[in-house]
Amino acid sequence: MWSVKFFSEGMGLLWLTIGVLAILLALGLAVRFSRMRPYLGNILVSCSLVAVSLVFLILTFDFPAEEAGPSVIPRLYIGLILLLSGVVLVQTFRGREPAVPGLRQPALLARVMAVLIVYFLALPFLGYFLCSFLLVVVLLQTLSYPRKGLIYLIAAGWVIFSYFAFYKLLYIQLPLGFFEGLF
Amino acid sequence: MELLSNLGSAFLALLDWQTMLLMVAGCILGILGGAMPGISPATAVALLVPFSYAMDARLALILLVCIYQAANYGGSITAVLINAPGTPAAAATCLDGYPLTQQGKAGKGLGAALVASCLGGIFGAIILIFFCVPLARAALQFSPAAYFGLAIFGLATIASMGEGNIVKAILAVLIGLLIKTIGLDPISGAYRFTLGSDLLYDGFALIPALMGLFAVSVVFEKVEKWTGLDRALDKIDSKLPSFEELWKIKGCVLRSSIIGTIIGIFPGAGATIASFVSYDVAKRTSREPEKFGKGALEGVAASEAANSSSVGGALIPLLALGIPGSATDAVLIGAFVLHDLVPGPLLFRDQPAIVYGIFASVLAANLLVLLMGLYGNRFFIRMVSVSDKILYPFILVVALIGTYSVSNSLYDMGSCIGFGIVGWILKRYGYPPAPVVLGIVLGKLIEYNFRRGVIMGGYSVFYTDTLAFVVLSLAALSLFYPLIRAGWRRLRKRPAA
Repeated sequence: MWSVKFFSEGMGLLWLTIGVLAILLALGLAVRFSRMRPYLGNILVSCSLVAVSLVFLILTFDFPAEEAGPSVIPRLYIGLILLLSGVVLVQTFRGREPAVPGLRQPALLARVMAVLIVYFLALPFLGYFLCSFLLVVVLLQTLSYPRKGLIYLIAAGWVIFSYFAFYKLLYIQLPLGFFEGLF
Repeated sequence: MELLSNLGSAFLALLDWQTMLLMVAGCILGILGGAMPGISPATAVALLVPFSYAMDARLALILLVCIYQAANYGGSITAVLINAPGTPAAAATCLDGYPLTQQGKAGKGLGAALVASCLGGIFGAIILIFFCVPLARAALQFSPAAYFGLAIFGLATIASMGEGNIVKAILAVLIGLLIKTIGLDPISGAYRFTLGSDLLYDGFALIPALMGLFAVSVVFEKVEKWTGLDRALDKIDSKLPSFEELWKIKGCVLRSSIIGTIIGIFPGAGATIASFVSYDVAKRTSREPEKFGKGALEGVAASEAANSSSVGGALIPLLALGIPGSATDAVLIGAFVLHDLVPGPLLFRDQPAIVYGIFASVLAANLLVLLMGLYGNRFFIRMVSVSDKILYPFILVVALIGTYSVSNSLYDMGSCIGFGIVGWILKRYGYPPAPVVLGIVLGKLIEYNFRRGVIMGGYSVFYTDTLAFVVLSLAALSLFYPLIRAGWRRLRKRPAA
């Protein structure tokens, strides 16, 4: 017997997430090949809000039931999000929402986001100092900083500054990764 | 008398070398932050909030308030020089500031902006000092229902953040409010939306959200529109306006300061509206309205006096009631929370040194900005021309280490990147990120007081408690006024059938 509890964690949550993503993907594809294509992003954002709100709504049925209990306020917010997302969707379909132009620099943006995510994933292994040195170097190169020779100097400057300012002065326990014994 | 003696002690405490150094640093960072187009005062303050964690609470808040105040002047530098307002509130300054630069009178534009900004800021600070204390005393008597009403009134700030679509601004605030419900319920102790992960037991911390939504998302936005071109600043004339020229605009500065402070007090208005309203009033009351838009010193002064004085006004509801009057105030609440302080009436009773320290520092920051503007404008102009190719990577590394440093948590750093991506997507599709932060900041206050109110007096308490009813009605009016106005205009435009 399935219950709300099943969807609130573990495999149930995974299935719920996969289901929601599949619905959004199908919707995205349907819009992509329709006359509403210029509004794909607007529609997907509104539908994602609706989907996430519905998931949250399902999860509230697992909360203790009592007057002015823990589910009251989240349900109020969810109800309003559903209502207003509906309003935005209607505005979009009636052509009252401006179509958002395509990304001007999608590759550059994707590179910057990817660099940040890789930086975050590498931090526990390579440590803050090496990762941050590489991050600054890669970002400056990605953004085409013209003085190539200075790039490494700037990155090294940041590492030295963060070592003294954050590690030594403010005693922030920066992740050191494989270099744990060095410091 | 108590107010004056506390204020006297606070001013004496400012003379300590450490405090002075922090105030100078705060003003320099504020001017630079404000001057960089794309970095709002809220972003400038947010970037520094995590680093204030290791400081004494009074010093930390003084530093952040100085950044806040100085950023409002900083915004005028690029507005006058390159027609690119450093802050949204400086947009009205462009209207007359840039024509002055085109006429070779950039120094006069910057000088008028500086003097008006500082005088406006001082006026706002004086009003802050004399209004905040009685308001905080009165607030001690408020019921939970009234507090709930006030917190909802605080949400009315989003009316000024909507960028044309109030429905999306309300949706953004609801996203923030819903995010705040994740984790331990403040009343029953039940876990909500934790998805079985102990990482979510405390929900999302405010600092990663602040950094992600205000700093990381801004960088993503700029990168997506990347042109690779740097700001070009020509050699500028630095001749300041004469005393006679400044004396002529005294009335305009005073009037704009009054308008700015009053507008600043009300959540929902803010510095940008204050500067445009003041500009409009200055034009209509000027003896030479035809000069507006062509380089009138009055135009520059009106906008700058209003946006600077709105800082003092906006700090009144923040300090006395714990309700942020602007996006930067919402960030400041994050700083209070970081130091285990709750802004509101109890702060006046429990931490008077902090409250009066803030009062004194707002006043002193304006004098420091005046000195820095007079003698250091060349330095700021050089710094503003720093390449975006260096600036944006550094915003990212500072935001990430700042987020990490608060709790030494990689999870927080990951949340910051996540909030950055979400913030960028939201902004791209017309949902302003600032209301999300506002929702996170006010979420607990709203839920806690709503449920306490209901437990104590039932759902009817919100219309039987007069203050709660009045404040809730005002909040509803502020929130929905743009919608009502838009509907009314549409009706009037529709031809008779």
